[in-house]
Amino acid sequence: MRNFIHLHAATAFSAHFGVSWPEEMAQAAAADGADALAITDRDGLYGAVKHVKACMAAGIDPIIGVDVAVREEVGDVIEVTGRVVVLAHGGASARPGAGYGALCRLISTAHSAPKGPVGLTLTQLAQGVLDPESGRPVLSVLLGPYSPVGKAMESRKYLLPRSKFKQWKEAMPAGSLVAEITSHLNAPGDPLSTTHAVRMVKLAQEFDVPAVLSNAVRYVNQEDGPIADVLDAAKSIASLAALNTLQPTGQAWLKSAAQMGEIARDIVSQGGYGSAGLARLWANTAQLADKCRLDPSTDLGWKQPHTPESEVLGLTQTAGRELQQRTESALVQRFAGLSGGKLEKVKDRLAVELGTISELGFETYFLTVAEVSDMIAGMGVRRAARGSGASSLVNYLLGISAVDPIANNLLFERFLSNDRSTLPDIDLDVESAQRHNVYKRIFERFGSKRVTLMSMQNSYRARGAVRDAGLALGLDKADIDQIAKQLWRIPAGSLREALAQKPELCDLAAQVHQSLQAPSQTELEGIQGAAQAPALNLLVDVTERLDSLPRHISMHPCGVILGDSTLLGRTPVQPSGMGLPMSQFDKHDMDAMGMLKLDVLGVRMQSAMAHAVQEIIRLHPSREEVAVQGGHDRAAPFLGEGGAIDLDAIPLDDEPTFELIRSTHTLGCFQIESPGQRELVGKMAPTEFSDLVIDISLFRPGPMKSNMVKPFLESRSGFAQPHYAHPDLIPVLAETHGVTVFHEQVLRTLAIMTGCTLSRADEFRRGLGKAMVEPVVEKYFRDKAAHKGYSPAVIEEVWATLSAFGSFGFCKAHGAAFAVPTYQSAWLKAHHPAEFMAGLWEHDPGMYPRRLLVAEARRMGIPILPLDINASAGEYHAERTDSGEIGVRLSLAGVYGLSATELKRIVAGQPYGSLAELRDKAKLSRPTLKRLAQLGALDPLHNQAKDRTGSTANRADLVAHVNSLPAHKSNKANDPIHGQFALPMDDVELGALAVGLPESSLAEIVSTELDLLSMDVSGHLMDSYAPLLDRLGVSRADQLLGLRNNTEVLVAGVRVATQTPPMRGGKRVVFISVDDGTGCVDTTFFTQAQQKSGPLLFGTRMLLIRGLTRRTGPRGITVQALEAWDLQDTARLPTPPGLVGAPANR
Amino acid sequence: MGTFTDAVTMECSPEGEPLRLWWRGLLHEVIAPPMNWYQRRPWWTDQRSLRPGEGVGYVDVQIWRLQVLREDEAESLTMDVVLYRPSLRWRVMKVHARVPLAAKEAQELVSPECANAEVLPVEVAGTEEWFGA
Repeated sequence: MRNFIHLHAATAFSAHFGVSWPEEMAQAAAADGADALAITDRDGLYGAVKHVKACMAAGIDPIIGVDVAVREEVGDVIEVTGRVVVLAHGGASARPGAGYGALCRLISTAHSAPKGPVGLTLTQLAQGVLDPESGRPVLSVLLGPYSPVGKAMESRKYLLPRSKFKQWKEAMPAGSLVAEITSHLNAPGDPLSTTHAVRMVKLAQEFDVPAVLSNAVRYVNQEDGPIADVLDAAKSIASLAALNTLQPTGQAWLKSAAQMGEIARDIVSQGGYGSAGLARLWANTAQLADKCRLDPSTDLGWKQPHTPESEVLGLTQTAGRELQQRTESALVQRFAGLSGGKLEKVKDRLAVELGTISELGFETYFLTVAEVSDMIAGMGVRRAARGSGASSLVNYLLGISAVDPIANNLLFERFLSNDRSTLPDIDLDVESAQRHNVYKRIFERFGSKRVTLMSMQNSYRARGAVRDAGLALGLDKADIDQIAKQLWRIPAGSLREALAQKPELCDLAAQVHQSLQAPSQTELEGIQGAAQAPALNLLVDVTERLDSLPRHISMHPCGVILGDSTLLGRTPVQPSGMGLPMSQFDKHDMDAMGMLKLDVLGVRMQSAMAHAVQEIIRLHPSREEVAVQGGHDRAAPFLGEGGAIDLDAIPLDDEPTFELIRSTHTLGCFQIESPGQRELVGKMAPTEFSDLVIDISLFRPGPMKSNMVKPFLESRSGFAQPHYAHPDLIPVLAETHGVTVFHEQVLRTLAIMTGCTLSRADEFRRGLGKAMVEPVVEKYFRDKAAHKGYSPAVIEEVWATLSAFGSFGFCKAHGAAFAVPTYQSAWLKAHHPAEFMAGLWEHDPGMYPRRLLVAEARRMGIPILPLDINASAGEYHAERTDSGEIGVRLSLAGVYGLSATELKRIVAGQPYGSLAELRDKAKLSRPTLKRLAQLGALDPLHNQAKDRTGSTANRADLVAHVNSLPAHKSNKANDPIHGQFALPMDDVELGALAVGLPESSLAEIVSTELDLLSMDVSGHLMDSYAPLLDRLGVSRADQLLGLRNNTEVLVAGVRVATQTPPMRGGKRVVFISVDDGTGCVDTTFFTQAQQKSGPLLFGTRMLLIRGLTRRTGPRGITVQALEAWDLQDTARLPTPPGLVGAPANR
Repeated sequence: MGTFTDAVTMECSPEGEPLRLWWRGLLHEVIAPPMNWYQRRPWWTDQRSLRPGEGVGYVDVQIWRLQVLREDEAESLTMDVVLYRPSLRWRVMKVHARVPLAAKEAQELVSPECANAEVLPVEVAGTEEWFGA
């Protein structure tokens, strides 16, 4: 038997079901001699585009279908009663594209039910298989072992399968129904047995429906059967031992034609059909496969871009004409200062860009993005273009990007060209808090038939994999949690390797090794309570094999697909977390499916800055007041009359801003707050905006790995002469002192030395670092450069740089776009620190926990105003204190367990005169009320009452009282009538509290705050460790700068950040930052220190670290760690030098 | 009881179909076309590793129901033997009581349409007793 085509095969993109990747499947099928292969993922086309690519690569025809749930009303409940396979017909048997389009719409329908499980009713299926144009079926529905018919065979009702089959036969349009014959060789009479397969053949025969053979594939190889079990367990969130829905046998692999032939022979002989029956079954399968072969180009519109129609933009002329008019008139305005040759050059550049756009047919895409951008601005939402889109003059002239590509020397070819094989996308950053509103407006404007969100696949990484593997194997949950916590940024697929190498995993590695020596459960049979010892080793293997399998899809953080009205016939959509429809395709599918997208990314920093600006206005509602507070010129053009600050108009040469950046006190500032960046800005000491662009571009894996940072810093500081491989490259590399930092410089270098166009150069750049392409680029470069007369030494040196640069490095347009919010956030921190802090706390944009920013506020002397039932709101607000300073008032929203409705009621009822009034109006749950009391939010009410009565009750007494109150009962009769005011009565209740509990200590209060607010407000978490630190002789963060380089010190604090950035030479370096209350200490652990510290590296919260000071710049100092301890494990701490009671370090 | 752990030596056809086996020193000749199916096993309780490439035979074992004639005996008997992969070791799992019960059962297996298919396969009473003899 040759050329068997599998028509029912799930891939890994059937989350928690399929095991194998489309590439493996297609290669295996082709290797067995099949010339086509179907993909039928569960309830979607999640893997379809990858499948088509894989089939094209393997030289076989793709078939696309879905394994979709069937919904039925059982009583008055909607249930899934089975699953059927639906296959799209190809252009050979129907109108090209009709089958695939119908499949997309049918799947979208399956996801559109307002409630109940995903799936299709029989009626929806019967309608959905028809092509709306021709009225003929363009889909085939396969009734197999999992279908309601197949399921009915499991019941004891002998006639049920027959009546179900009849029902389907009658409901489905003629020619659309097929019987799917599958045997997983289960025990006779059980589901997926050959006996059931025979019964399905008989039903097909009786109802005159063609029968085809399949193997309902879940994995490519036999050895992957156990992984399918683990996925079943993960899906059901149960251990394998507890599951009774596991696959009945492990036979669901992509069997060879020979193996399928054997199954077919068994079925036919058990059914008594003889060789004619066998030939018939085989031929039917081949025939259906032929009907469903898809041509990527004609059936799927492979790589054919679709952009919004010009009608939808309301144009009165062609899109090309419109684009030209708009950009030309903007050019005259924007470049009013230019004339003569310079202006001509800009005009030429515009002509080139418009030519390319028109040739690619993307005019409406640009006009659509421009309209979206204007729309966002019209909503009053902060926005900023980012990414390579900033390289385009057209984007600048349309107002999409604020970066002038001419002044910044940015290259259009980096963004778009005829040579480019991928579609462009434009990125817009908006306030994160407004992102969903922006999406909704885009959908409203262009219609959900032209717009959909992009999705993304979330895949197994080490922690999730180890958790699910442990759950499946039935390991103790606490043990698994303990293991999962230790896995830090390790790909699940190399867990065993990590166990052998990473010092922090050595304990775990020993346990795994031990587990191998232990007897297995079978060997222990009969011994009560024997542990499942070998499971730990098995756990490691299972974890590795789960690596990167998709777990679920979710809305992509920014991708919005913009198309024309055919969009929903090209991608199935399903509701996203926020309700708007999202495509089942991810970013890797976009180019192939000709989908153009606009990336609208929510950036918390934009929200934080917007909040800060609002707070500034709220406290200083006039130009004068803001100017005085922020130290601005009264006439500054960025100040509005009402006190508004236009951040996009602030001058880029503000000295206090650069001073702040150079001080390295950049916590909270966009892009430059990480320990590594603080070190870099300390060394680099930026003095102008372009320094920030370079700084951001340098702090990337590429430049770090290829050692660009050191020569750059040395040349910049004048310690070394900049070096250029050839004088021709001076104009290209002068801005970065001879070091190649930007993509744009790579393009120009290639163009100068080979004479190629910039757009070709960009294609070459994309080839760098790709093993298949780079040798071709290298040959071209060497040949052409030699031909142009460059010496072998020059060619050698330049190629070494280009090759090391790889595909890393940074697009200067990105760097320039990023540097804008970096500068703006530093400017706010320098001029309006309290309002800026309120913005940071409100939107939490950075890498650090909020509590570190509390410490930062304390360092800057910004008062932190405690929770107050009357003064606190649902947001963090800047507030003027009695002494005239500006502080930040904590938000009620941060209180643990306080519900959104409770918050709403509290704020609506403010201010409160008494505890009783608070109870009546806000109707808080007792735990919430207790937490508010614990956090001191009720102290103002309490203090008022105490002042009147002279009571001496403390906060602990108040908490005890609140805790003793009866739970709140909802009783409408007692509610105040609308408009009724509370009588101005003294708070008798709080004035007469029982006294007697001891006052809470500061340490207790801080601990409560950490529990309930995740912030230490009243004091620093480390304060209570002060005696211990003094005894140990620990140096504080604010003392380090005064120490000499290379001084041995002990530092301590609470961990605030851990990073393992890629480093030169591939060796891992671990950066750990600890906060000790006086500031942040950044420590660096190299290999030896990592080994000495072992498991402490990633798991421990409070650390004591011994190390050597390393001066990084005029204002920067870090500690190179030698060893670390757990500060809470007092027994193991090093003995303090000298006698106990030796003079403390401070 | 009812499950044995006796290893047997099996001789198969080139297609992998059992022909004869030696169990406890006695030759058993397969005298009718055998049936086979697969049955799950709890691999997570006894496997120590699942390295890349491992996993064959973890989820299921192959069961062969053989009608055999033991040397020097006149009456056939039905036995279930298990094939473990990837080691390809064979073990006897169950020996059924002598026909006519087993024959009837075999008949039901091939034509489930005419019988109550749901009750198959049945545990046969008396197996233990026979084995004890």
